[in-house]
Amino acid sequence: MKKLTLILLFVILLFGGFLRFYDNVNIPPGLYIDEISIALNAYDILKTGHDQYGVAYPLYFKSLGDYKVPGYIYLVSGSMAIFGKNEFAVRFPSALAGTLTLGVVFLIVQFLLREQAKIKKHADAIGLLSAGLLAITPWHIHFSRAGFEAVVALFVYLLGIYLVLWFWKTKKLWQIGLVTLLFLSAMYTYDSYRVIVPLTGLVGLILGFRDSTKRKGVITGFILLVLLALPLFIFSLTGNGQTRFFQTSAFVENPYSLGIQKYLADLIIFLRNYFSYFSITYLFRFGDQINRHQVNDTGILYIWQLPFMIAGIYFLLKNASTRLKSLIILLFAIGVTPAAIARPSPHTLRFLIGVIPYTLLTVFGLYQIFLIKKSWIKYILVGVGLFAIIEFGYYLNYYYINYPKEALIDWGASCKAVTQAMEGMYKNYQHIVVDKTIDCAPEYFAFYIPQVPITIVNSSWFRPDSWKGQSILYIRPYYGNPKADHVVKTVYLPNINHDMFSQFYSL
Amino acid sequence: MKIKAIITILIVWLVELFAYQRWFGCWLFQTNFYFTKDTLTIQLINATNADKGMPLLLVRALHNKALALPWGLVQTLLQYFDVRFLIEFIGFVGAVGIAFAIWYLCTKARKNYFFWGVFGITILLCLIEMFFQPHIIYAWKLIGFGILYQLLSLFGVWMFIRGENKHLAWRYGLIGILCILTILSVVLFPLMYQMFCLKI
Repeated sequence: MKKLTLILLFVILLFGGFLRFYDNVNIPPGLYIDEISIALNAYDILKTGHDQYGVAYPLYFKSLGDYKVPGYIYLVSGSMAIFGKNEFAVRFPSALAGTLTLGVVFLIVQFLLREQAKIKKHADAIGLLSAGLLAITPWHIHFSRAGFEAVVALFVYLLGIYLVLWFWKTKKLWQIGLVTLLFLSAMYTYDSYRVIVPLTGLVGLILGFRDSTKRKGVITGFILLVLLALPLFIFSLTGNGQTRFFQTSAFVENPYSLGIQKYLADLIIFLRNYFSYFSITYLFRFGDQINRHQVNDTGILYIWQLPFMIAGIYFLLKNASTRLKSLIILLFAIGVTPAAIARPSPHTLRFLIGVIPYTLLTVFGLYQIFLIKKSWIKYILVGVGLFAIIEFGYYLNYYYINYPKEALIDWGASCKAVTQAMEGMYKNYQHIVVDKTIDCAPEYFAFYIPQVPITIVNSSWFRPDSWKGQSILYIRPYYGNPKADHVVKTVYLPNINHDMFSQFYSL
Repeated sequence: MKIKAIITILIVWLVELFAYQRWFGCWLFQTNFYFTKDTLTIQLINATNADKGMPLLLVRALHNKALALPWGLVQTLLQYFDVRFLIEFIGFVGAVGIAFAIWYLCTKARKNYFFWGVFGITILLCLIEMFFQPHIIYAWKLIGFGILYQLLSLFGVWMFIRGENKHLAWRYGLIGILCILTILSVVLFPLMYQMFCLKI
């Protein structure tokens, strides 16, 4: 690798890291409920070696009505050992994996192109462009900044893919062992990879079986993968393991329950969902409309990418590197499958793997257009470059200025504000009572103020006789009377209107 | 061979009509198909509301009509070529047909000025719909969109199955499957199109 390439890669990693780490404790503006649950389990593992339910080093964590795969929780445990029990520790593994993914993408693209006669002299440049574009892609930045398991799973999976490519060339067995471990880690980190990895393994097995020099390696790897993933597969077949699947299954929406009609309707639901991941309004305008998954009023990709993506499809189908083409098709075909059998669809987090083929398509289109020897091309590229800079600035403005104010409740920042307000007050009261309708899970209190004993009650709660004469801090949502009797504290949201969120009553 | 292709095109057209006829039960597309002066103003107000404390110059540079207009225009225009909308409008076979049409116009049929014209008029109609929606009767514009989208998709399908292509049996098979999927989709989920339009 040339020195200049290394320097540029380092700069991209630094910039990508900055976009992922900078103030990620406050933006997104709070830990959402899954992050809180991860944090509590991770802290228990770190301190006691047991999860919240007393199971020692579990392979699946019981959490919020279903079971979580353990990868990210153990990573956060490690992170908490270094940074302590705080929000940064919860988000650190994701931000780090997101940053390192840029490097892996560079390596994959460079590896795929450097042996193609026509393109090899530009392999480094295309690799750098891919890493650079991924570094500034809203879709990837957004998830890398919060504690999402999918970001780590994607990194590990791509690293596995890179090693598969190496194995394809060198045919060394130890590489396939490492690939198996990486793929397995992805499966134990995010649910979608329970489908993506076996499908990838199957494709690898079919391709490798044809070649006698690779046959031994791929068969060994596949058997190893199946054996090591057996506990996960067995668990997936149990009632507890299927909870998540049934909670999110797209086929639950099927209005037909009998006979062939049901299967045909399932097929149509699957296909509609599958196509939805290629919807241009999903990619460039609205995203999946789950506020936690993207910034309002911007898509998950930049609009300027669209013409280059179309050009990328055109050039890839016409004349380009067959290996890059195969990778893009593989990632699209395999990546959409687990997302399309779940609801809602499209779902940006479950299809996070899709950011890679979309980025590669854009870069390839851009590169091929750059090669066209026409004088007007440079004017177009300059124009698009300007538009890209404006769009990036626009995104940063929305992300750093608007989003923290608009998405407070989606990220649980309201609950964090309540716990912060309680911190200075709870010592003056014998009982702290929280109204259920405030919509803050007990886990929030357990994470932010574990030292405070909380009683969660229904709205119809009355002071029990046994508490007569004792001081009570009663916390409930704001019901419309800013100056109600006995109110000792009002919690305001740090949003645009500084809305009142909750009131503390001294009883 | 040509007769077979013509019959296939006729069948595809009937299948597309089967999906399309449902839309006469509506009276308007959903609001995200429209881009008016008011939309632009509201967008800008929403965008600048949160900019409290930011340097005024930066706020003006990022949120102004000159930038927001083309951006909003492109974003709204994309809605008319969204695969989810097209699947509901003219079925799976129609949506794939339009993708084929764009592909062939960019590759093998670059000099087919008639269909370039159809494509151009489609975009023009989208723009008219975006800006002048209340002044045009819904049924007329629905007929306009129907004719243009179907022309484009039938052109795409025609190019896909015409005689000089390889693997013709496979191609006919794919079109057949898409037709069946379209019919199934309309029969099993007849009301899904209401995601994109307001019902009478």
